[in-house]
Amino acid sequence: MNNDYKFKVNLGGMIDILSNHLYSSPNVFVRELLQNGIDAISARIFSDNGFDSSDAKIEIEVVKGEKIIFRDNGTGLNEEEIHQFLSVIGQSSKYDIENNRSNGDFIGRFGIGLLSCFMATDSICVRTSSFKNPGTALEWRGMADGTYTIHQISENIPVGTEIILENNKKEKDSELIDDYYTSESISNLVYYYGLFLKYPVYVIDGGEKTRLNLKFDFDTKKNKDVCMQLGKTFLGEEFLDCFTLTSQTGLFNGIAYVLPYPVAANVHNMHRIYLKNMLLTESGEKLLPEWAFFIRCIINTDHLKPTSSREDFYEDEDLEKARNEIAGCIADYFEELDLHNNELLYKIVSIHNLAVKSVLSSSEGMDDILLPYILFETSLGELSGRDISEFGGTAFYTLDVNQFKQLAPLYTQRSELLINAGYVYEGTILQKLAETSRKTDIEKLTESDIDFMLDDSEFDGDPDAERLLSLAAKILKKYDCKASIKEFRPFDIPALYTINEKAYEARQIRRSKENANAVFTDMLSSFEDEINSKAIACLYFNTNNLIIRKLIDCKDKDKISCYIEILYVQSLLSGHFPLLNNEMKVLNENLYKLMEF
Amino acid sequence: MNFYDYKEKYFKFLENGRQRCKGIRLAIDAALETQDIDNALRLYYEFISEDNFESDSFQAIIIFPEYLALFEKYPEYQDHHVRNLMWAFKWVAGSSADFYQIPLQQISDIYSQYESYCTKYHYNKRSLYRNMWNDMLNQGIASFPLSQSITDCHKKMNQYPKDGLSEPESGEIDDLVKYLLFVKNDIEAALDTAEPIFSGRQSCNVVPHYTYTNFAKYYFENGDIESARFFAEKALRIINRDFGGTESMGRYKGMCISVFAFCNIRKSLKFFKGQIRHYYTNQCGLDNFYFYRGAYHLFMQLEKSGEDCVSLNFPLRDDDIYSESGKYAVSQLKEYFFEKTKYIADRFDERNHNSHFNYILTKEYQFNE
Repeated sequence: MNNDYKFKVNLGGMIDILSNHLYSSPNVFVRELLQNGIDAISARIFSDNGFDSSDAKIEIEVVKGEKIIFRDNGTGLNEEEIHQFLSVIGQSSKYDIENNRSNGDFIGRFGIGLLSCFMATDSICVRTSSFKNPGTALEWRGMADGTYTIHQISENIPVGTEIILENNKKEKDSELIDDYYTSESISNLVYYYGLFLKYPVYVIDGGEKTRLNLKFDFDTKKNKDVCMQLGKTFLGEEFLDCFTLTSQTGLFNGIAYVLPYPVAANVHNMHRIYLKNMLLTESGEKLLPEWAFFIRCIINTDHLKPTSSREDFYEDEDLEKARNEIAGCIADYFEELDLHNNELLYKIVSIHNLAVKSVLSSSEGMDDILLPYILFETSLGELSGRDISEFGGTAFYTLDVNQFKQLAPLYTQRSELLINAGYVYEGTILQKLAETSRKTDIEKLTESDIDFMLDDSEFDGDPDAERLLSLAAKILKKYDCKASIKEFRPFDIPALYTINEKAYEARQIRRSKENANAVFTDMLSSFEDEINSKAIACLYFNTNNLIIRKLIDCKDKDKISCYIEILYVQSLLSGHFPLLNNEMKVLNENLYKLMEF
Repeated sequence: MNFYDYKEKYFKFLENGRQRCKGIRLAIDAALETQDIDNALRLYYEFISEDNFESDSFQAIIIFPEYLALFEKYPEYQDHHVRNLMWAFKWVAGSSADFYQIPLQQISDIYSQYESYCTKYHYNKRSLYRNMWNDMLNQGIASFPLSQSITDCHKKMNQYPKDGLSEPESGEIDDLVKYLLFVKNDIEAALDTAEPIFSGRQSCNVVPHYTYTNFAKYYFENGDIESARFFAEKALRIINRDFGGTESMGRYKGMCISVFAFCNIRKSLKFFKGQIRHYYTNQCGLDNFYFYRGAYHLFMQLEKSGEDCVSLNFPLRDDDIYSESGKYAVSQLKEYFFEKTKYIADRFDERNHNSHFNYILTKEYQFNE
């Protein structure tokens, strides 16, 4: 058997798909009708040399509770075009598709726009006169059950199209539909979707004709107040500042707004995005670079390709290019502030410190501008990149927050600079700062730096101190830890435990081996030789501390041994190092022994 | 405390990768201390996932035995956590061959244990064979005890349907592209297969950049530097944006450095300078091999171009080559990175009983200008 069959399409089902799945709200029928009108006008300007574009307009007449008439003076349709485009779902009437002679001005792409009207009515009446046959008018009437009629009408209507929607929806939510049949709601929807449309849109109510859209200039320098007000109206925020987004390649134009409060990096800001001046979505997420989460924008694009839901864009090269250009606009804005309003830039960075760090870590070209403003937690309080660069000498940074907490007091006492680079993005940024800093050498802290920073003890060479050191070295050997005597401030720290990365890893391996099954014990063992050979751990006894001085004076070897092990475990705990099973055991055993002494 | 409380307190704001793993480690200990087994198990998974995607997988390998032991000790939590455990097991088993320290027999034992867990928890062997053929490809190993050849292993993988441990669709396509490129040497089929990825219809946290880099590698190995550059540009854009601040993706970053060393040497040098610090702490032999080889290619090409000296700022202070002035002779860096790569190549080849890595290292590339 080899028969050909055709798919059958259930129009009611299609409408359900549109209203419940493809479109986010029935309101979109207004957008679709505006779009059809704008496209028809664009086509006429492109094709009809006798048409003056300054005459282009859309009029929407509302008879309250009864009907809405959308009227445009675009190309209109002839009978062939009506059959071809109005009555075949999925086929766009846009001239660019059929004739491949586009001026790139058409908004629609999918040929399903008119269908969305069935979300607001059960019948659509289209009356049209084509610029190709002026004087001939046709009427097409499509019903929600999928049938349609077409006939010539005697009435002489001007070139263009009028679409008449009657308030005759019979479904259960038809009461909600009644709301659409008022000039107020239609005006609101036109304002919502088509504020920036380039041809005038009027609403006519009881003979009164009002223009709804405006010719808008996105230049924030010229229209700062208007732009800020627009942000407040459409994005619902009192923003800190705004700036113009302009694409050198004509991909977009718009306004970016700086949020007045910090936001988390994983928050997806919703942007109000227009496609050819028609609102595409107010929940667009993809257009801005990921790191620009401190910005919201109102933006229009003429060239990006919308997804079929028309609520975002396809990930393609143009979108990537647009993102890069937007990144460039943000960089220009920061540069401008750096030159002319660094007070505002400080304010923005202090509010959006995390976001700006994200900008710096993931993009290029803004280092010189932003690095001086970034704030870091240091042993000398919160300092900016500029402060650190101007500090002079050597500043160390650590990527380990707990190491910073452990060592910062020591550096504070010595008025030396230790920077916490353990939080997100900071390592990358410190690296960049290190490359650009002229007065200060910025280096990653190593174990030898810590050793160098601690002062030699006045007890060096003292026989009692040597005895303590020798005993400590012997006891700590089983923990792969060396012992050293130094003096440092604050005085109340008796001992300081430091390890390098390899020693940290070695501890992790030992910890894991305590629980591992045979297969994994073998695997863990295979790492040990290489790691242990590079592991460095050291317990520094602080001879400024009274406990250590007492310990030096103590002659009881057993007691000293107890204290050494307790100090070792205490130092591990204060450095936030996870304890191994035997270390916890040792602490308990030695505390018990002390009670026995 | 719930999981998000632990996250907020211990690691939410820490730098991705190594530092965040340290924070998660503290969270695990806090959970264990209060016998909060449910969250401890969740946090172990978080740790392994973090290390697997944002770092070098070494910490994941080290901590996994603890995770497994805890999982086994508390059967009452197994139903809830088995899927996480199996994914972690899959990542760990799949990474083990990337560390030359682990002998082949042990890798085989780990796979055997993974296989038995798959059986026990009703997963099929698709993920097992997928990991194995990938390992064989990466390591140039002719066979593991469980299969005869890459083709055989790939065939066995396809005998099993996708299940809960299978890669997402984008990963499956990327795998097939890799197989077509490097096993079948069928560039046309690979390009056709990759279409859903190139068009943006299929993507995940490792696709499309893995796919782009694999094409770059294929063209690079086959002497077509312009095509290699085309794909390396695309890969680098994503890798730099999403993984530039982490230790992960060393093999992919290294491949981009190699490609650009032969066609855009300034770009290669700039990217290398930004990344080198990560590959002094990275423990993964395979990542380091390709990264250092990229550096070797870079300095070889710089030397050929007549450049004598470059300034670098990276933490080499413990290394013999370290210069206080930050100035380094190009020839010295070329030798230095060759030796570092060679050391890893020797360790891998010794472990694998072949000369795969030494061959890759010493292969000479000639491209038309």
